[in-house]
Amino acid sequence: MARKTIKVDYLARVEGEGALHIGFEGDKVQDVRLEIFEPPRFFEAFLEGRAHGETPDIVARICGICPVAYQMSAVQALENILGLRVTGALRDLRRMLYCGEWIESHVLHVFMLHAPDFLGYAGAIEMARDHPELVERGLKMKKAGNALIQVLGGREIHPINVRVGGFYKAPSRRDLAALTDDLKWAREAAVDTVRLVAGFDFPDFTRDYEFVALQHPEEYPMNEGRIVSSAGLDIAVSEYEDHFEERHMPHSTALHSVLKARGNYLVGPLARFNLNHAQLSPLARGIAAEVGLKAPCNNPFQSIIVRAVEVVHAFDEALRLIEGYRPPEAPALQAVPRAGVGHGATEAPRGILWHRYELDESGIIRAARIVPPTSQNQPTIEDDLRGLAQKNITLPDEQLQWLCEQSIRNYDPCISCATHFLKLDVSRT
Amino acid sequence: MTGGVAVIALGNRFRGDDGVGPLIADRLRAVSSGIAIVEGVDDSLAIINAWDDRALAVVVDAAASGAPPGTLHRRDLGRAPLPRELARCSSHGLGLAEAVELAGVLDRLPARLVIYAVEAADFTPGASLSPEVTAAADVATRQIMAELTDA
Repeated sequence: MARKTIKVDYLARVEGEGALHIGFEGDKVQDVRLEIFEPPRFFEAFLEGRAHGETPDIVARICGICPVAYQMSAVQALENILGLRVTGALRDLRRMLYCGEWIESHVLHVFMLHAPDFLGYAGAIEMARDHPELVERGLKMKKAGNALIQVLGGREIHPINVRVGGFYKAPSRRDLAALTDDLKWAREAAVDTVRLVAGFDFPDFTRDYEFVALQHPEEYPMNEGRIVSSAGLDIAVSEYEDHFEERHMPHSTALHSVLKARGNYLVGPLARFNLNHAQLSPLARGIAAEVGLKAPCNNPFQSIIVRAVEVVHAFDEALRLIEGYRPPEAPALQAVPRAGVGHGATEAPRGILWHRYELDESGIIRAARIVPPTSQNQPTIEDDLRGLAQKNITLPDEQLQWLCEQSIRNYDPCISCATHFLKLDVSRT
Repeated sequence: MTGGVAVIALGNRFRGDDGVGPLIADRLRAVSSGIAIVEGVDDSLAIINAWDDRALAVVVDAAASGAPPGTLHRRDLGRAPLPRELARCSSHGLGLAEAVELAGVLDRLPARLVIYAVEAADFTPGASLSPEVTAAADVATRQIMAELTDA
């Protein structure tokens, strides 16, 4: 029987580097391996023995794309141990900060990493030569997200203003009001972006996923909630380890997360939208309806539309929070060290980011565990590739490889936090 | 901001010699409070937004070109494309090289762009900076201060 392999050694336009190998035997896909090389769980070990107050600054360095997510999951877990409940203006500020991160991350992915796939360009530079206005729009929208993070986080990336219990310094109403004109422009640009990406041609490909996301009774999930799924899971964040486990795969140093009961699942924009679409802002809901985006959306290629809708929501939510903002009495709640175990989960741009910490009585970290969204999606990405390669087995190698690379980018895999280096490889013999 | 100068420090201070950019940023902050320093930008759009409209942008980074550890590479690009050998040797080559090329297409390069890259020895997570790299950071700091003073 004829054997063939499609092999791509360097996977472009993902946050980092990685490799994909697809082996065929005759007309059957035999083997799919997304090879991810994860450094030893360095940061978990690095945190052990550190004072809990150092955590926000340390975890912000794990990923250059989603530092706020790491900070938010970490402070939530630590505040659970310390008995702190961050509410009111401090909670609103954290949500605003998170909006800035969603905007920055999604805009980068939509314009620079994913749109070139649909418009037929090798990359953003080639796309910019023909459509400079598109990249200019992305730059300006991202700048508006940057400005939010700079005012609230103290720095554009690796924000240094976040602490357990709140912030080191709270902004004034005037600080935030200065952002509103740019945010309003960007909100309109985001609405136009939804219309643009909804007009792309999408491969005919759907799968029956188990979607997993946070859910909150009053808001589209970002900072907190219960972990729910489309198959009926509904658990507290602290129960995560009872239902999910990480398995070591021989072909990858990254751990694969699975549901103990049912296996692979999907986190990220599609999951959030399918489980929580009713809580999008009216503007975001309206534009989703206008372009025909409906839950459940089971086509992973359409995640680009969901990201664009979430960008509308994030701008809208930031503007709503800025309008209602009254500075808190103090920038942070006082934290008194005590021993215990705490869990935190927030919705990073790519999906649930789960943290667990164990503190001793003086507030020193004794154990840390971090589960990033990309390691949760990795088995699902491989399943997508298996289905897609089988369905399109008659395509010439070059086209099949393009489709597979695009399929990986549906998940905006953040290799730099799930892993360090990734390469892509497809081959037939 | 229009005009003026900015120092853009690439690199991760928790990954051994990759932290040389942030170290130089710290040293510059220690000698002058008036320098606009942007640290931690990782992607090409963020890099372009950081230098947009500047009269002078100085990018500091770690390099891995095979030269002896501590070698200080300096390239004054003006508004020219990033030379291939530098695109390869920067530890953040893809983001920086892509940013330079993309900014060229969009006419969003700073009026002048200077890149300082210190040859690294070790990118191990959690490792300290190598002594040769720390020494080169001191030299780079002095040169950059002179560069900013003359600008």
